[in-house]
Amino acid sequence: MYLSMTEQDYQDVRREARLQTARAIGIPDEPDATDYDLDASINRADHVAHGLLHRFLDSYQQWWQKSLELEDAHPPTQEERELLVKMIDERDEIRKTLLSYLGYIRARDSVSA
Amino acid sequence: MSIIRVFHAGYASEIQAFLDGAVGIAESQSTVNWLGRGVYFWESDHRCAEKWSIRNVREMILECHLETELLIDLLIDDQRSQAFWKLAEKQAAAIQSSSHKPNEKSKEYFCLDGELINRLRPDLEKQYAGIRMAFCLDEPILPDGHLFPRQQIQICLWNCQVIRNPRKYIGSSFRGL
Repeated sequence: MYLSMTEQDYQDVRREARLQTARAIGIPDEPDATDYDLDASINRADHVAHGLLHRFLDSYQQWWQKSLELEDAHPPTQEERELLVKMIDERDEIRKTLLSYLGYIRARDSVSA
Repeated sequence: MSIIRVFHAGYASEIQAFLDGAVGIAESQSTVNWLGRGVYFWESDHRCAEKWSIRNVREMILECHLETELLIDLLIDDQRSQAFWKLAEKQAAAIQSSSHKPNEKSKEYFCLDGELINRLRPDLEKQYAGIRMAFCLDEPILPDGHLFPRQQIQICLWNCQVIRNPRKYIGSSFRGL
């Protein structure tokens, strides 16, 4: 398994991304809320955050699926490995953009509070 | 106390054993390593570890914390680092006249650097857990300049008992924010 990550690890990151986004834009913690409910609440509260979150979730899913594909390729070619490296960059860049935006929201709200 | 977040890419069998309580992690024995034999970590940038693990077929990344006070920290100009440079200068002449392969920066082969530190290590490891250093790779943007496109900080650890908060690295995790 790539990075010894499990499907559960993957799902945990996706869930945590939603929860962190919700917290940052001021949505009260609701541990039992489904992903669908969280998405709807986030979109209502801040559609920019919602858009960035979903860009991250999409790139994370693409990276994860490619990782699984390459697990089955014995051994992956140099080109396949470099593609995965590129996907790591994309995944992390959008994560950084999301976190920057959420940090900005937190800072803005703490100043205006 | 300065705590740094570091990443080590390796075989799952070794890292998982360490997470399960084994005393240490197998040291890299490569003769081209710039800091000699030891367990290598990248500081802060997990992407270095992820990319290296893909290119070198490793299955797992260990994420943990280290205290820089336990290391020879070559990013800091203190008595410890000054003593290191004095020892290194003394040893340099002997290394250069030895039969070891030369350094080849373009290939990132640092056989002489590594061998020098290997020779100093028996004395150094009595007091310190490892060594921390910055590396500037590729060619600078301007001739003789310092604008290197690839910069990274690495730690070569000799004593894994100083590792704090070890855990399996999860790509792009949001935990701990």
